Amino acid sequence: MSANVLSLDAVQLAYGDTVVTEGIDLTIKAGEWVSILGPSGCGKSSILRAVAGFMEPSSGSIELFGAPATAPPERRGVGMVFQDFALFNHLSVRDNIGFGLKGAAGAEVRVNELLKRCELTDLADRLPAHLSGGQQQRVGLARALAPRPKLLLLDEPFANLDADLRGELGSWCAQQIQSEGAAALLVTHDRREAMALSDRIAIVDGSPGRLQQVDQTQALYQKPNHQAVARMTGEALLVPARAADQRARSAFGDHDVLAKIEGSVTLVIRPEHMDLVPDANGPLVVDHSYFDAQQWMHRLRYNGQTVTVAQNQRLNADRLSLTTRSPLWAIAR
Amino acid sequence: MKTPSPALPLSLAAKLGLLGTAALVGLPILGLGLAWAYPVGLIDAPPIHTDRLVEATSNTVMLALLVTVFALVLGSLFAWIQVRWTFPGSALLTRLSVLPLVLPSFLLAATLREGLAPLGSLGELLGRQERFDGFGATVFVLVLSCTPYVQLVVSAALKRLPRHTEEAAQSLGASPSRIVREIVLPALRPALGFAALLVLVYAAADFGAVAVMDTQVLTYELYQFAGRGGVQAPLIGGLLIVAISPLVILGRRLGGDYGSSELSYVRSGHTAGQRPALWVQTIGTALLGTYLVFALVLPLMLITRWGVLIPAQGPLIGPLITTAVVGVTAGLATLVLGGFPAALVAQSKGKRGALETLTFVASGVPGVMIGFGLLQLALRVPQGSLRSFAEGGAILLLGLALRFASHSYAALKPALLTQSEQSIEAARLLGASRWRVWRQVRGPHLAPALASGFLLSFVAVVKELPITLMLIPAGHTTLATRIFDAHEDAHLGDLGVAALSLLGMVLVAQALLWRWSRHER
Repeated sequence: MSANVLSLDAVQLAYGDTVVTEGIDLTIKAGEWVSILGPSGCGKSSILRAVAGFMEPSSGSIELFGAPATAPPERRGVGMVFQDFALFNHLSVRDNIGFGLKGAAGAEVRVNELLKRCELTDLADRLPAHLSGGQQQRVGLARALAPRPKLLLLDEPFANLDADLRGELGSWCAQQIQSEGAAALLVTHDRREAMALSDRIAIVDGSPGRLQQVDQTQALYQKPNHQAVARMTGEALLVPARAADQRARSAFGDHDVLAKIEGSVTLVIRPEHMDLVPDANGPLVVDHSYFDAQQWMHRLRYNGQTVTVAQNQRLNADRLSLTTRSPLWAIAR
Repeated sequence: MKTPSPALPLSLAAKLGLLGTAALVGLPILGLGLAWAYPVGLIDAPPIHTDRLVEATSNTVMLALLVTVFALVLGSLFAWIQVRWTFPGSALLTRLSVLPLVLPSFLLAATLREGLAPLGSLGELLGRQERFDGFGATVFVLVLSCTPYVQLVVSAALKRLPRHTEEAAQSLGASPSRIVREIVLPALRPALGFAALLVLVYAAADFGAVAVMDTQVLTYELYQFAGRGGVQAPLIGGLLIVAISPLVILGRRLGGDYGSSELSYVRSGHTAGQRPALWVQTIGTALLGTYLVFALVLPLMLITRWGVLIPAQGPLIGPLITTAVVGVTAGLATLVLGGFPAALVAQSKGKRGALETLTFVASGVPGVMIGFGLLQLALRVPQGSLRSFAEGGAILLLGLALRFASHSYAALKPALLTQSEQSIEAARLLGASRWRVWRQVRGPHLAPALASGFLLSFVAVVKELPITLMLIPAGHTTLATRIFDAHEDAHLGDLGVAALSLLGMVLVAQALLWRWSRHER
């Protein structure tokens, strides 16, 4: 089993008297990519800042590479890629990438290697202001990778890029980090980004932010242990029900359930569990329908919740009724 | 249907504006040229020796350079303390450290010269044997006056500096000293250069402190020869231009293009105060405290003491009213003179750099030169209604408006540039007349900038000395000229009362300005 490059144990972070996140337990193994997924303000970026050494936990402990993380940021041996790129605007692309290699043997070779790999050779002498957003982020990544850190921290690195570039650059970034053999801790509020890039995802929710669940992407989607996890990992209707003997009764009828729980539960009804039928008296209201490339998307409203469901054909109706397919997942209430 | 009348083509309007501004800016230089070509004066000036000219020129350059170096060091240190340090009382101390801006340099010089004289209130107490005047004392006073400008410019740049950049360097293994050397200083270079330019021009063009301290520099020499015949005064004026121009070029070289460099650091980062090591904190606080004692506490104590304990020789109501009238009318005149180029520049979406340069060049010309040039022009206006108009104060207003037009320009340009054309179009589509658009859309957007421009100019005008001294109509006195005269006549009671009144006026305007700027944020 590979050793942990990072361990967070009951970490609490605060700005003055304001606690931003608490009870954070998380480990990352060598070469693993873990994402922290959560809404704005849940303290996920603060977790990254604490790992980098820019803030001290108010309680709990952080271990890096098997030892307590007490060194100042410049001696922690972790790389960081920032949302706003944080490039040194007065230095050329080459000098930005070489900044962390000052005095190191083979620095020039390493810089040239990264310039080539990141397709920046032709731009090596340019200043960052003369690069596009995507090029700037490639410089940011190359600069962070240059000293060969064993752990790379990525603070919403693609948030400032347009949607197409975000996906493309994300995959490219993952390849580069993987080829360096580094582990990565990504902070994002973008579910698709987290799911596309991560081996595991840690869901943080609330204020102060608390860790709700850490697992592989499919497990989080199929077996969320909290309503926030169900919402953050994909489209879902969360419906109250009573459960007994792996059966549950809700406003939509009786359902088989996967979880062995009894009493008041919340059923997680994903789009793939839904059979939708036009019904003038149905409980689901069709807010909006639009065609998106290959499918018709229908935004449905039910009991204060909205869910977007893809269908092969347009449902020409204002209201719909719902029957559910296959066993559903249930969360204890 | 009524079709809108075609507007004056922008390029033509801009050309006319450029010509008009150039003509106004050129007036003092024209006066200087006329004084050289056709010297007139009631009394002929005594001959001026080359040695004296060389000394005055080298004193001007040395004064500007020394003041710049010391003010840059002190102002940058205070800016760092203001933005990056947190310790008990740090916020109050750093806020107090920009307050000396309200004291004009001649007032600071007069209080320190009188207070630290062997028989002065403090000189006696400290057992001082020598007079506090001359070149060294002038450097000291101007450093006290200029440090807040550096602090304001550098602290603004420090606040805009994204902390992520420094954190990135730290995560790449850079030590704190390497971060300051290789990341912070290069990023601050444009701001430091701009601050250096401000201080260089301020110190080289200063008249008040050098006159009070009897320092032979070009501005004081020009003032002493100004009212006499002969080519001495225009010769000194020419030398002043020759001495200041390389300083301006040097400042611009240091700073590069301050405006565009700022744009590359638009994202504001997380700025957290740090508690420095105790010894560092002690040295920083001691320097800040010493600065405050000499730049603020001592002058205020002395002014209050003189104003309260020594009876004044003459009434103050006249200078008070004259100061208020000159301040208000010249403040309005700067709005016109600065507003016109600002509107043209805004219409061209920030282009027309020549107009902007001209406006700032006018404000960079030393006050004593503007005063001398316009005085020479007024002397050559034939007797008649135009002469009466000039002697009635119009020439004074023109001089003050030329000198401080850049204050209004700087306040109005951003407001004019950020005026949303779409909001005006939306108002028109909603049926608003041109008048209603002005009243309810354009007016409210521009009002804070107009008020700021006016108040900034008002404060600068009431503190101004050389132009007022040279161009004020006979029989009138402002608070600034009263302070200058009272110091020359050693009437410390008059000096104290006039200074307290001037400071009161400036503080009220400053308080209004702070209120407006807070409202704008």
